[in-house]
Amino acid sequence: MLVVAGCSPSGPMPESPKLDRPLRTIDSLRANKNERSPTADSENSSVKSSEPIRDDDWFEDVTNTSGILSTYRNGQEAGHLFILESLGGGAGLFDFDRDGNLDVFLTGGGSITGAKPELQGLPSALFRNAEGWQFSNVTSAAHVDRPGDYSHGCCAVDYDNDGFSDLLVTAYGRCRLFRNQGDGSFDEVSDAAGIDRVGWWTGAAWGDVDHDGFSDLLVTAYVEWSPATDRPCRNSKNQREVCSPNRYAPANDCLYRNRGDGTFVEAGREFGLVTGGNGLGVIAAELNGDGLVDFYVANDESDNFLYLGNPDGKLSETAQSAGVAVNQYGTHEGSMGLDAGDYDRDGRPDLWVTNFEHEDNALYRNLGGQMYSQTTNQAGLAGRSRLHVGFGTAMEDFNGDGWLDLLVINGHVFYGGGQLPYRQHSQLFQNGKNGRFDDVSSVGGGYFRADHSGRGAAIGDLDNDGRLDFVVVHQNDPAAILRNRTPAKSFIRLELIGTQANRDAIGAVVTTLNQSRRDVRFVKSGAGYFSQFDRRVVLSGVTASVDFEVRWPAGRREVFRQLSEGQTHVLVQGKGLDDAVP
Amino acid sequence: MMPSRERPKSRRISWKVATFATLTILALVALNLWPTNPQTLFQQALSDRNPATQISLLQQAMATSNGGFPEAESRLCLLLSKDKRWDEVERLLSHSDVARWPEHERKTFAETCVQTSQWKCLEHLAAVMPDNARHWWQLARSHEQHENLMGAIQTYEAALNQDIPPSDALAMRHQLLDHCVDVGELKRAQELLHFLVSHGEHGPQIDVYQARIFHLEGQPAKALDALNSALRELGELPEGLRLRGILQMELGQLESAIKDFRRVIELTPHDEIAYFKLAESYRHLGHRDGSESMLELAQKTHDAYFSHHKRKLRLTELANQLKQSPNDQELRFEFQKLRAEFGRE
Repeated sequence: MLVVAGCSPSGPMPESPKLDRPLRTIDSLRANKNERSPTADSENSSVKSSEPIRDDDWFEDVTNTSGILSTYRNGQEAGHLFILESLGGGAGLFDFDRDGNLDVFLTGGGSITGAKPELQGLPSALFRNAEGWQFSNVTSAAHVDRPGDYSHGCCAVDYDNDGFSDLLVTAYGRCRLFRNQGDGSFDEVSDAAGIDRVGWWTGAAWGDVDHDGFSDLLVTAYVEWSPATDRPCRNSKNQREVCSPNRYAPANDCLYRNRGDGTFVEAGREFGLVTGGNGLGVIAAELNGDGLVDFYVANDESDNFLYLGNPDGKLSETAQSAGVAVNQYGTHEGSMGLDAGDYDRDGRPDLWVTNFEHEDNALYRNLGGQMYSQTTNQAGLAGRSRLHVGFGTAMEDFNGDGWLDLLVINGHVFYGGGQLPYRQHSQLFQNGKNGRFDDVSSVGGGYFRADHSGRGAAIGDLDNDGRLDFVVVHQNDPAAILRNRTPAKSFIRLELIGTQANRDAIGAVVTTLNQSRRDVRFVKSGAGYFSQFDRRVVLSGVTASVDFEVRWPAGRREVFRQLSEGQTHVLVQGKGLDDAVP
Repeated sequence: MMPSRERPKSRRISWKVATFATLTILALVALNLWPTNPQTLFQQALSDRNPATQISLLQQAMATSNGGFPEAESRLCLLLSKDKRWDEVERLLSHSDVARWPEHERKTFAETCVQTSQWKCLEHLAAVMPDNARHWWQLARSHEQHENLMGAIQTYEAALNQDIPPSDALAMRHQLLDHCVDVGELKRAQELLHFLVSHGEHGPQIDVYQARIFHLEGQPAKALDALNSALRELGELPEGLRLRGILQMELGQLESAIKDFRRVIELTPHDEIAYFKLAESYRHLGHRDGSESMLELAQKTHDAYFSHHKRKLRLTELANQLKQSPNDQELRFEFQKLRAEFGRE
């Protein structure tokens, strides 16, 4: 449908009855609607976001000069309005060639062809970071150019602990596992590794559930759908539209146990996964303070799952009793993306979830004792997302003040029949340092002032300047690269390497010890929506020399002392001082 | 052999007949006896009982009239709308001056639009007669019936841009404010509230609006003050008590919140949110058993009432879809299954 201009924040305050009027009439709104009509190859979004940069903008769109040109395709042009088209793709930021710079991986999606529709995967793309905001396309050279199935997300991990980041791509059909050969290329090992389940795989996160030092893999599944079982759906105006997930049976997530020999076995039920869920985003991190990796799953139109790791190597689903399964009125929402972080600086990771239109994105404050309280209203975030459909997201410190801010990438799933436009503004919320967030989207940059069909976003320090940049994927529009241009702050970057623990240290917790403030950061996998964030921990505003405590996954605490700012420090498990408080 | 230059006799006769016929037609047209007169076609349409013929005659009448024929347009629109030929209705409306239609036909057409939920027709009516508040109301309510808050908001905003009667404008501002709070457009909601208060509106309704806005803004203490003020006049309104409980929870006043949620359940035993919030309050107090039993009750209430409502909506939706796609077996199966379930209940 249309944007409500009359209710827009830019509306004037009424001085007289005559001034208490909308900004636009129905006719002008109708014209606006036509502007927003989505097409498979629209260039609207990228053109609009390249408007001149303003002095106080947080981000600059550098896509056009970066050398990154990649578009996620969802097959919209075939006109089938399949539910498959609604999910979109993701981005991965990881250093595949170990040159110290984050490289960019973007999933390709797929196409739908033929009268009896067939799905075909489109190639993903890998761009090597050549520094100076220049990237070169190395998709073919890296051997990740085979189309595979209709892809969605990606998640990088060193699953074989050989020191090189491998890559998993989720898809409708089969996930694909690419083993990094250490020479700048990958070898697709899905079959040999036993990543062989067929389904509609969406999000993925790695974490060592059974504490054997190798990362296991949780992959979320959406619904039981195929072109043959597709059902035509109609909106309230009786127009054909993409179906909601509740028209199909929910699919079951799966958990691949890493045997440590390069192979996996699906053991979801043994590990304690529950059935159903319409799964999308998933994050792995240490969430309840017991040192074991946990998982949180965003389910669309279904209760979210919180899997807490147990000492016996199993998972317990506790979302309902923890208070993170549903919204504050007891209703499940259309959850898509998520992240975890300590927004209120009490040392505990809170949870953040993006949701569907007419719903609030949900902020769950961690109260300790495996209890959360939804604080969306108290944080001033209620109502802010009801005119958006939220997908990609991140709870990260974007302005370097040491407090976690919120990024929300929006875009509708309904091409034209919904109440809200297909392309939407993304949002940026600054942490007010008082438990509240302020909407600073207007100074986010040109990208935030334009409308996009946004999906996954990956966060990372692409130019190693201590400021977090991001890459965002759109439906049928080129991905965008956003450079963080907030004022530079002192920073320190940590790369954790597990030796007894999984090499990526997923599930580790890092705490500053000798600073005027206490920062706590969590090493995560998954997060956001279908995307891979920079695994390195970046802390801003630190003083010259910093002491850190690292709590390794399922392991001991170690202290690393007097790390100097402005550098990347590699913290290897077992190399720190084992003198921390247990 | 040379061909004869003389025409055959039969051809000469045909030529004479054709000339005579042409002259006769011209004479009849001149005498207004041949039915190419729009008024005549219109009258013929009125007296005909076959809708297809009526439509055809009216279309001819409009085609032969210069500068429009409002009576024919309105009648044709009615016939087409009764026949659910909405695309043709929309085309007709796009170049039709509805303001010139006979009043009673305009009303009938508007009613047809409302009954059939053809919001595009209503939108057109509202646009061509912008000072007529009734059309705006009908359009907004049509959106509201379809739970299309954005459509309703746009309609009220557009209506308030017209010279509609002050009493309608006031009532629309109330509706608009309510919807703006619902969709989280807080700045516009504050503007509207400010306008209403500055124009003498006060009382519990205004306090409730203010409480809801403060709540969304994350100011539970202020929201509680405003709500208490409203509840002093409204008495034990279940929805008000429930919101008060929620605000008290946010302020950490769990015992007071529990009292309110319990009272809501006494007043409206089907309030699943009250059960859920009660469970949440117990959970925060560490009363795990109490929390779990309340969650169970919330779920049962949800299944019994909310689910019923949802299925009812789905049944209506399916009925509408089946009108458009009567041969869709999956739709029909789901419809029959749901209808049978309602029969049992």
